[in-house]
Amino acid sequence: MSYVHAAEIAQEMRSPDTVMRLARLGSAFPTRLSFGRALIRRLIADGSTVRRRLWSMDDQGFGRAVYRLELGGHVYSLVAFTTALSDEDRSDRVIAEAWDASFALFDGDPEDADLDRLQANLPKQEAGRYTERELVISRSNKSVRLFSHVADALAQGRQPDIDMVDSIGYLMRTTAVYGNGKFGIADRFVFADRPGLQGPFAAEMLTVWLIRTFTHDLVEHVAQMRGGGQAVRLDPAIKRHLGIGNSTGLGMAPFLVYHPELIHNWLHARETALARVRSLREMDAETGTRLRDLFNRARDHVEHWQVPDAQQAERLVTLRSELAEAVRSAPLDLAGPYPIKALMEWSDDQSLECQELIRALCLEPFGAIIDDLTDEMAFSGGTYFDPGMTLSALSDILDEHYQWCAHVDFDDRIASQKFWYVSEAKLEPRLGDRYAEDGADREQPLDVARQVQDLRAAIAGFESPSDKICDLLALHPAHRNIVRRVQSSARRPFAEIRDNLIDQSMRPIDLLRCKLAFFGAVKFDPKSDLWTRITLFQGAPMCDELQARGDDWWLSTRPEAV
Amino acid sequence: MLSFSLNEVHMTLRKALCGRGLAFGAADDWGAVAARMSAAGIDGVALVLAQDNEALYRLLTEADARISRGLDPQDGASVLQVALHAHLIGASYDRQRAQAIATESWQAALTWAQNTYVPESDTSRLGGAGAGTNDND
Repeated sequence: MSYVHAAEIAQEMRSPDTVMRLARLGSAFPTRLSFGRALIRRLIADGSTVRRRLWSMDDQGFGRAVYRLELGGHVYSLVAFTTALSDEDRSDRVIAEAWDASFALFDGDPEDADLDRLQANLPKQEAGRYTERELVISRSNKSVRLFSHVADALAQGRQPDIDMVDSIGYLMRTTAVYGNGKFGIADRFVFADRPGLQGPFAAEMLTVWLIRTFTHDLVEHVAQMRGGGQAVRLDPAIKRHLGIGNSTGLGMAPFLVYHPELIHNWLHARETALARVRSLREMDAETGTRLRDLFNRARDHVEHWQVPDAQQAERLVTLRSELAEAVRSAPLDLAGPYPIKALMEWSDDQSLECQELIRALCLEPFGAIIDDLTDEMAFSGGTYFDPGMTLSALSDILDEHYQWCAHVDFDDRIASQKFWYVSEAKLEPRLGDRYAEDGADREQPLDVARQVQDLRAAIAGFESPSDKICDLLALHPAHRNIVRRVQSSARRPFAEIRDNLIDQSMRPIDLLRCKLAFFGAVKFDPKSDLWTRITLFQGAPMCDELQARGDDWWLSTRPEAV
Repeated sequence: MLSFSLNEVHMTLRKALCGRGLAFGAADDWGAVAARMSAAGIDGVALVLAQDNEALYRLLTEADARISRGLDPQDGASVLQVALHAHLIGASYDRQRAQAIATESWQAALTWAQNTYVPESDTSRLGGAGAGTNDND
């Protein structure tokens, strides 16, 4: 592989004006830098092991379980409780108050007293109270259709219908995964430097991966109780294809806006990885074959990605046709100079979905030159603030990184039609219509473009070149938030989503897909512009096959029928 | 007395101060200052809430001005001023869980935070994410 120069890589970076647009972020695919992938690689490298330490379930699958995992010299336990839940109480929304299962990632080995304490709190989720021993808490609901089908099939001694397994993809879906100190659990800094848990959302991803194992065990247990000697266990290939679902709503969107430093690190790492592979001058035959195999896998994956949502279904039709066309016209022989760059340039004439899928594909064979970037994706530093910066210097940053705000016309009502808020109903994040609903006086500050325009107007009121940020804030303290954002962005060009997040046409689903792709989600299944279901860890190695299977599960495909 | 995570202290006080009418950016800084003080075994929530909004803005203005001139906190600066200064210059600190926040201070913060939430209505419920009907599929 050719040596790649740093200057050449910098030249191949995409501009934030290209990358940070909602439509493109909303077309993101998981890559080998996604957090689920990084976690699996860390588990493999560490030689991590998982053991089911406690299984106390009745014949309907209600009870408690504990899984013990060793990672990086520490012990962690997934604690799980399941209870009966009536159909009318099963809701994916934040406002739900009961779930089929609740979980905690516990630091160490829980004693019986810990389990009793958790059993009294975890089923209540947000209404419970937790300690520093709990690193993450979560809950999940069954996919009633698939769970029942799989349990029935196994109980009768046969494997489940692969079409149904593939079309749903999971036995349970999590409806919230809470970390970083929520409701009294441990702050992230408590474990952020521990080997194996350094990456963003590493503890959350670990929890979800362990929950997936729990769902496999639970359905086999229920089948065993129903079928007795006739029951069989899940075929390993089918089991591997059963990921864990997730329902995600508006809460993720404010997160992206409130953590600009973190978002920069994610996007900057991915874009640096893309620039590195784009700079490769040639490719050996073996890597070329590998990339074509992965392309075929991606096609197969997209072929089986079925969604009821009309808009996403239409995008998938286009994507499938573009991938078919790629076989005829894309430089998939990878034989010329700069083969990855050529392939990416071919994709630039296709849809955004295709452009982003091809880019994710191009990263996959090159772990040796890009996987180190996952070490740069966390952010745990404090934010630096320089109130002595001149307003002239602040304006220079605005000119360089916030030109996109200048084009928004806030005299047009539709540019500020939406407002983000938190409902008093279980503090569910919501989106309102400013001109039709009450509550805009309690708006969350996601209106970055509008704040930037107001800041520019305030700066215009200062005439001396020596006037500083502290002078402006003394007169206009309301600008403190945007001033700090702008100052921080000077060194973080990927920190801002470069679109107006309160415009009538803004689709929150684009923000969600971007974040979920970084988690490693597949099979985006939008249920409206406001929320989506997805699948995590589909095709990922199970607990007992980390070493044997390795980390080769990008856009995994369905197994053959058994 | 309950024990709190530092992020919980930061986020709860940020909401409380927004609910009391402080601008988001200022509320965010003061939430972080409260967490920093609470890590040192002080009831940072009570200390910050004891200042009215005008005082919180004035303290920020004074700290900004000193930092912009490269000055340390003035002699005789209060615990609040010292912690604010340290926060604004990004000084590291020993991050221990908050053990000294009085139940009354926490409750006061939660009460103020209520002002940031929008009351429930049928329209509002539809603007939330999720099916809102049935998820038994």
